Amino acid sequence: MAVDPVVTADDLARFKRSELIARSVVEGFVNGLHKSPFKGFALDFSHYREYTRGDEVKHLDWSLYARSDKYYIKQYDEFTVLKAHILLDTSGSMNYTSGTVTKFDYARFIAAVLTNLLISQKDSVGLVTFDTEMRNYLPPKNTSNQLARVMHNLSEVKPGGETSLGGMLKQLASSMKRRGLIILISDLFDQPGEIRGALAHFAKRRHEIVVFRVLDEAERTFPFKKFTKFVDMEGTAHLLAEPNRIRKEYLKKFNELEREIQETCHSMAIDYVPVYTNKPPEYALAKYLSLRMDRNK
Amino acid sequence: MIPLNPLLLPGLFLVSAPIIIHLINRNRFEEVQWGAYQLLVSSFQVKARRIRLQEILLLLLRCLLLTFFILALCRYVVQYEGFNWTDPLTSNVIVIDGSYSMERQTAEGPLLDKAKKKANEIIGGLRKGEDVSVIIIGRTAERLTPKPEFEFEDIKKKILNLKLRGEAADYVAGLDLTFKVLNETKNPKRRLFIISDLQSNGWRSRDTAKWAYLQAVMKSLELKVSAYYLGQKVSDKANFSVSPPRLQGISVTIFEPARFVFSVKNHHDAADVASIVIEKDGKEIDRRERTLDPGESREETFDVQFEKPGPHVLAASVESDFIPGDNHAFMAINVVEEIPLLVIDGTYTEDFFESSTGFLAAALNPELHKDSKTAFAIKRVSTKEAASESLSAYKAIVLANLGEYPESLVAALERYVDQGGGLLISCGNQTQPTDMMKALYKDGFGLLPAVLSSPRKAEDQERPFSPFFPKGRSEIFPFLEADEGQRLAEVLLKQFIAADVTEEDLKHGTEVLAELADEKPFLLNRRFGKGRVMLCTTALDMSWGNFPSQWVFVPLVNHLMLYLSAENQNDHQVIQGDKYVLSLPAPEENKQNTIFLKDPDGEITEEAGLRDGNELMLDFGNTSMAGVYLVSTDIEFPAEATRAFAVNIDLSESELDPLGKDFRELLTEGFSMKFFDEYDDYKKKEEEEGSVDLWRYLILLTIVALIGESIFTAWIASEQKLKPEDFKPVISN
Repeated sequence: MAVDPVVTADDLARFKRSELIARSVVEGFVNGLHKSPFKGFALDFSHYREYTRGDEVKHLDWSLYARSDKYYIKQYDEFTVLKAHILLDTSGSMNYTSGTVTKFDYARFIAAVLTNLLISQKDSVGLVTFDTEMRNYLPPKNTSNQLARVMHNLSEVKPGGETSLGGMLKQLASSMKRRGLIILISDLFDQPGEIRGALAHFAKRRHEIVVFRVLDEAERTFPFKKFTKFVDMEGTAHLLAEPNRIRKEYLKKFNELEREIQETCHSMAIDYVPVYTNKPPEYALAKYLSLRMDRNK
Repeated sequence: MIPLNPLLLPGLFLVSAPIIIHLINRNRFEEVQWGAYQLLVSSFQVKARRIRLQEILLLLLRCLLLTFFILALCRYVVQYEGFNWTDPLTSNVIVIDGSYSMERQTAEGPLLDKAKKKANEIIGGLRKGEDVSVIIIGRTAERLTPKPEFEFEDIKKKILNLKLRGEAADYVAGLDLTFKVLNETKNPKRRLFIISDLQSNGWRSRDTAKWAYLQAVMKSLELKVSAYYLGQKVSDKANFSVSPPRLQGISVTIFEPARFVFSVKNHHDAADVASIVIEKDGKEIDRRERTLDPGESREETFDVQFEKPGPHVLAASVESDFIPGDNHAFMAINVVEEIPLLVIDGTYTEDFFESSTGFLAAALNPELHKDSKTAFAIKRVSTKEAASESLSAYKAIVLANLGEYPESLVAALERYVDQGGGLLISCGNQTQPTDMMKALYKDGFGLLPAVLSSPRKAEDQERPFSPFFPKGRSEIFPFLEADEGQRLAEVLLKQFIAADVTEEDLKHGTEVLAELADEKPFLLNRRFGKGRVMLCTTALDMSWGNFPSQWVFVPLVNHLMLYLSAENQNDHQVIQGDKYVLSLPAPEENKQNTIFLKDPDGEITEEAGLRDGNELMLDFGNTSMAGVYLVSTDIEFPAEATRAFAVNIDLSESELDPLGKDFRELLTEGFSMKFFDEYDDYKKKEEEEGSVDLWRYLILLTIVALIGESIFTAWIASEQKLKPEDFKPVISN
């Protein structure tokens, strides 16, 4: 069955040529991603520390002892092949757009670009699509075919159904034995407690988490004026309302949710990147990568 | 609660407009597939109750606004005494039209009954502490009670017993009395109700000073006037009026029949047959039928031979019609056996022809010396003797060749002529123009018709003067009528007193009936009060010419004296409400100066006469009843000592002509009078005025509701107004 490509070769080429995605930025991002969260004694020396009781004697730097008459243990950074999971929200709300690009299109574009970048660095990338439950799981691999499989999956997946992050992410987190990179791409229109609980599963296992919150500008400004029938994209319910009369309350709720998400991410050292579909995805990615590079310096 | 504009009541359907618009708008919506639905729902749930409440309140406010506005447009008034507690008490005057046009029948009975009903309705609406006076008007106005009434039931009963005055209405008299009545009242507010068929005749007083006075008084009283028109269109019934008979000839004696004339007018807009009845002293003497075209006035004549001297009654009538009040007319005739003449001779002697008036007396009563009865009974007296004469006993008086004019005699003569007597003044050898002018001319306001100058005599070579009667100057002397006037060439006068008719004299009605040389007058005539004065500028004896010996002398003086004495007959007729003044010979034994008066109903009253020498003068003003009145100094009313006078109605209301729009507007503008053509109209207006203007409060409520709606809408809008921070999440550290 023919499917629409998520990212065309032209898109990827455009992405690579983009001024916003400068090589250094990408490299910084990639390096950052490659650095293992585990400190060890394998490849690259990192630094010394003083010997303490219990340390293995074989790690002592005898030559330094000879020069300084002190016991130092050599510390090394452990470099491993990164296992990244891209978690893509395919709930009905992701299909919303006030313009031409739906949040889902925008989200899978980001997913595609990130997959391409990771695989190009020989990292393993897996893809998880979900709404209330996991819809599709593509285990992480760093083979050249993996990119094609991810792209194929992204092309085939259709948004629909409700959103429920909590249960699904708990299930996913428990199945991931090794720590890695979790990239969650969602509009996060769920209960704040649910979101917090879901992210906590990964944070507890010391995964590195990046959250891309994909939003439409209309969801932020609620610009409707005429009497409107709002139909739930994740069900059959509808609501007749005078937009003017509820705008303020809606924006308040929206801002509260946003604040809580930000606080949650901040407290769990999660990188939170709100992106709006009216801005080019390159811009959003570049902004995030730039921030990350700065943090890793 | 009564709407004054009920036609706008269906507009209340508009009250549902806000609800309908709301429902329509709820079905006209945009559909949006919304992702953040739960967020939206939770926002809506917070506000839902508040929004619903606001919407209901707003709808209610808008519906109320429209309700108040439409009810205000309907001009709702409410009659509730609780609202009137601040209204000051009112003094009320109700003027009821008692004129004969109010006698006409309507489907609800006579118009007067409607007026009574209306008056009692007005009284029924008065509050305790308010007072009311009722005035019934005809030619004059009369109060029903001597003082303003506070007990309404009594006055209501009196109103029900009211009777027509049977006169034409005079509203000015009614207003005049109203103001006198209102000056006696003490309540702070004053109202006048006029209940009438508003015939225009009653308002047409030309006395502008009176109107100005009325206007000033009304303003000072702050009087509120409502005039209610109770009339209706003239029905299909016939409507005739009869004018009082009048003597067509000169005098009425028992010697020959007299001719009378009266007119019958058809006021209906269709031809009708009038059945006319003529009565003499209450007995029918003739009956005739005439077909009269619409608006036609037809003169009818009839001859009557009176057998006995004394007062007689003639009546003309038509059979009862739409307005019965004007169907009868009366005439009082004082028939004389002979016409008593008083001749005051300046050169009086027993010798008949040595005096200045012997020829005159012989001409008027050729059988005088034989003591036979003829038309004239002449009494000749000297100037001195005249003072003791009761002048009113004579039909005419002659002043012949007087050398002096005693003041008392002149005053008595003036009074006599003013009340209808006839006077002939002739000149002679004793005439002093200067003295005569001084006594009788009085700058044109005296008895003399022209200014006298020096005597004119024919010179030796000059031809004597002959009188000339120009054509058409007088109808008194029909035998002297000729195509180019009549000159009496055989009459040769050597002397006469030159008289000049001034502009002032012409204004006072002086006419020159015949001329002498240089167009100087020979015979002059003028009206003085009700009577007439004639001046002959030459002598009635042979001293100044041959006039008394010529053939023309006898018919001329006979016609002249008949003319002068005949004036009295028609002046015994007055219009209702007018005063009637007459003088009677005063018997010496009547020390109380009592005059007895018998009204048309036969009721005898005593009136106090005013003695003036030998005469008693009666000034009688209560002429409200139409018919013939008898007056005498003897309660037995003997024919020889009794006079009669007739009172007839003013026929101006026979032609039904209610006040026109222009005149009403004039009265509304000048006197703030409000007129109501239809009973319902005035009742509606009365209800409006007697009620609280609820619509004014409704306008106020509309404005309040409008302001409330605006404030409420603005408040809702302010709730929705967004600030920059509403778009930014608050991020904690």
